[in-house]
Amino acid sequence: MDRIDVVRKGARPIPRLAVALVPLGFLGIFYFYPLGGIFHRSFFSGEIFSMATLLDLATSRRMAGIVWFTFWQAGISTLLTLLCALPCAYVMANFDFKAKKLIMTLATIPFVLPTIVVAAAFQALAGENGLVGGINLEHSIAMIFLAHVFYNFSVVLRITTGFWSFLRQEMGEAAAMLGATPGQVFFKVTLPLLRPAILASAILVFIFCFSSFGVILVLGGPGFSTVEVEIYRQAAHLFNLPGAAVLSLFQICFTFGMMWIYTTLQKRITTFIPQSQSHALKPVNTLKEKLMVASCVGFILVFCLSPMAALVVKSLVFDGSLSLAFYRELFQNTSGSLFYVSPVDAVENSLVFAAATLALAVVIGVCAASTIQRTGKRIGAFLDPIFMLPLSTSAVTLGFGIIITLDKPPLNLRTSVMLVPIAHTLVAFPFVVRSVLPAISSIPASLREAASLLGATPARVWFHVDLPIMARAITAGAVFAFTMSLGEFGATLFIARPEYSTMPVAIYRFLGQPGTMNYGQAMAVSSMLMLVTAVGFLFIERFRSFGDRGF
Amino acid sequence: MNEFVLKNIYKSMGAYGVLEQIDLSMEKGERVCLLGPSGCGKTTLLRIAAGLEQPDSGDVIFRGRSLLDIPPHKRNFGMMFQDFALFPHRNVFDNIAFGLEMKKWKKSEITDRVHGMLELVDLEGYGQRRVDELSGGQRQRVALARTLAPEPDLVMLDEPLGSLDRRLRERLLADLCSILTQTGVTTIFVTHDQNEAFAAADRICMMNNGRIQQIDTPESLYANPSTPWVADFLGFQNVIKGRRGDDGRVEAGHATFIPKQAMDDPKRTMEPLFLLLLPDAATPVTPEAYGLLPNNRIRGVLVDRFFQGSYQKISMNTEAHGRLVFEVPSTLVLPNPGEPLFLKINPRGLRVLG
Repeated sequence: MDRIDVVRKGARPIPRLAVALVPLGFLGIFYFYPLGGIFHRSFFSGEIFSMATLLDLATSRRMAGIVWFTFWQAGISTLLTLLCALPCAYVMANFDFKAKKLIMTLATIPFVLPTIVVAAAFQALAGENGLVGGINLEHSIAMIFLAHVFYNFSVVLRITTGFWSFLRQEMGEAAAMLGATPGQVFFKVTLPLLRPAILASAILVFIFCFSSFGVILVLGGPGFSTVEVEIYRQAAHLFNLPGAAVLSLFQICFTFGMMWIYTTLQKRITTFIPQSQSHALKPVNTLKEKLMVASCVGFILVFCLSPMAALVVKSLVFDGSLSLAFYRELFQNTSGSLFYVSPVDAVENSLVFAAATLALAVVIGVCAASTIQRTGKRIGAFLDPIFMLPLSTSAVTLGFGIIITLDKPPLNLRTSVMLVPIAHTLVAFPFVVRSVLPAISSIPASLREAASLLGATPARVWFHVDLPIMARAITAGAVFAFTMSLGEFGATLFIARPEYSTMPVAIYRFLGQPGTMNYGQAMAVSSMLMLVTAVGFLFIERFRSFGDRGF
Repeated sequence: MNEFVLKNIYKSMGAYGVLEQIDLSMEKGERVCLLGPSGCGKTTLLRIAAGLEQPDSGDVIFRGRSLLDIPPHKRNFGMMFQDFALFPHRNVFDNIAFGLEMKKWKKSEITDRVHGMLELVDLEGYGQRRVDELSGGQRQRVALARTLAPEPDLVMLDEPLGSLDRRLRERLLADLCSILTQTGVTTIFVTHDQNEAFAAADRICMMNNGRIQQIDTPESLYANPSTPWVADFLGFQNVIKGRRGDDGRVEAGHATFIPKQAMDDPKRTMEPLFLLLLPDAATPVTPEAYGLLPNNRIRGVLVDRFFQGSYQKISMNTEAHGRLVFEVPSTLVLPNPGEPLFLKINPRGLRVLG
């Protein structure tokens, strides 16, 4: 192994450095520099160090309330998600039944939907004039919980199901042979063994709910504010930048801490998984088992499909009858005066930004993955988490950091079209890395050596060996970057100039306006966005070559 | 009364075929080994005995009582799994204590018992170790201690040495046997390795394709394999086809053999059968001496000979029976490969197979 490394190091040091500089430079300018800006704003007014803003916020009763609310809503949301997902995970991990894969895919779709679409869907389902008549949960805490469970259900489901089906059957059998009743087997053996997986998924869900933005902003209304929403309100409505910076700093530190716990647990999981294949799934035989499977499948179908269905129905019903009026309206833009940008332009902006994000994310992601793979174990293990950092930073803090630092020399991008795709790339390229890295590491060195001994230049080796093998993984990453960009809301709301508004921003503005036509158009744009993301996700599911742990 | 009985068990094993007509009785304290190639149904049979699987038909009887309605956790049987299935979230002590906790033993009794078990398996001082810090051999002993700690009425061991490397196996097998002997527990032991079975078992139950082929003590199994398959599995190479003749004779090719062993049913003459020639049954003779022998003789061409220390292995081609392999003393002078070879066969070295 060492010998090969030496050969590689000797072969082409300059391109390797250049390749490494692409992702590192990008992160440095568009991630660490804005982060530094937030830090600076928090402690300095002008050039003078001051703890005043920090102390102001720390002693504010309102802020204490917001922080407390952020914590407990995330806590309750996580608990509810676990309660719904764990019984389903039991069924999914232990029984074999028809259409199981389909059900799993269906359950995952909510997670890939843009948050603003989730928010719109729940408004369509249970909001004012929602599909479910008689209940109006708009601007209620119940609505926030529902949306959070809907969105995060599959995180717990997938992680625990994956882990559970790798638990060896003999563990339970060994316990039974030692006299444990089925109940004791579950509580003394299965549950303790599942604990790291449950904990890891719970932490992930907690982080997501903790930094939830679109759902709280839209469904909670003015009555509810989390740290994330407050950053936006302080910065965009009250222009209190130092205050927003301090809140961002709090948000960053907290999510980093949680992410660190999560990755530590993840490592425990991978070392904890016994080295065996998944155990044999049981066929569904008894009435009790049939009932369990039926209720699991029924729950997933109803819970995951109803908000999405409500959204589509609401977008297609105009004045009590089926009609495409809202969709037509989008492209006519009679009410253009209300908006900074017409819906057609928003669609166009979204597509252009998504294409740009795709290109940027693929280039940076592939460079990052190559760098991790080629720098060997020690440096690679250090670089890998650094490239993942943007994922641990909430979209709103990213957006906020960018607007307070990149709006003046040395780097003034305030009016640049590229600002939005750059922000989207920050969030998208780590996924390209995750997708490409396993593929790139799977290429044996001997393959490249064989090609070069056959006379291929380094560039041609890369083109003829690396690229074809990585192609599937790159495609999956690219599609992800594209759909992610289409749905990104938090950062875009911050940084997109009015003329560069995207579809999610348009939905948010439509939802904020009174009138059936605005509401209907919000539903129509959301439906379109939902369709595109769902299709993109299905495409990735069919295409991806890496393992089951997609989170 | 038999301690443990498997009675006329049938069980479909999916892709592995079926278990058919399994009958096996065990005495108290007896150690029976299920021996056969992988996929022969021995593990399935073990799981049926444990209650982890239900037979399609037949009965599992312990001390005169059917166990079919009793779930595994109420049978008070112990089972050691192939890769030990130690609980990774519990340390060595807590693994061994698990069965005792399930039986609601008192804390102090549990501590005493676990320490006793650790001593028995020679792992004193290992109680607080994590399971993943142990070597393969240590894990095996922890698994054994965990299985034996709750004083099970019957112990089942599924390939107890299967996941260990060869050198370790021989030593651990001896330890395992001495521990089992000390506790005197009735044991069913599954293996595909005949040396293990010979060393560990009071009786061996040979299985193939879901059926029992032969149940016997190791000595009589080796001395009298009852079918060509058993002979083949035990490594015997010289099985030749023949027919039953008169007066306990066997006609094979143009030769006649008269085994020392009595034939069970002399009436069914001309019935086809198999004859096993034990590897040490042959003595080389001169062509003249060969000519004087009325029966129990073989001639052929020497193909190869291999020096093996105290004996040499000879491989010969015969017109009548194909390739045969024998072991003869190294001191004998043999013809060169390619030359004819004449053998006298000792009637004690002949076995008629069903």
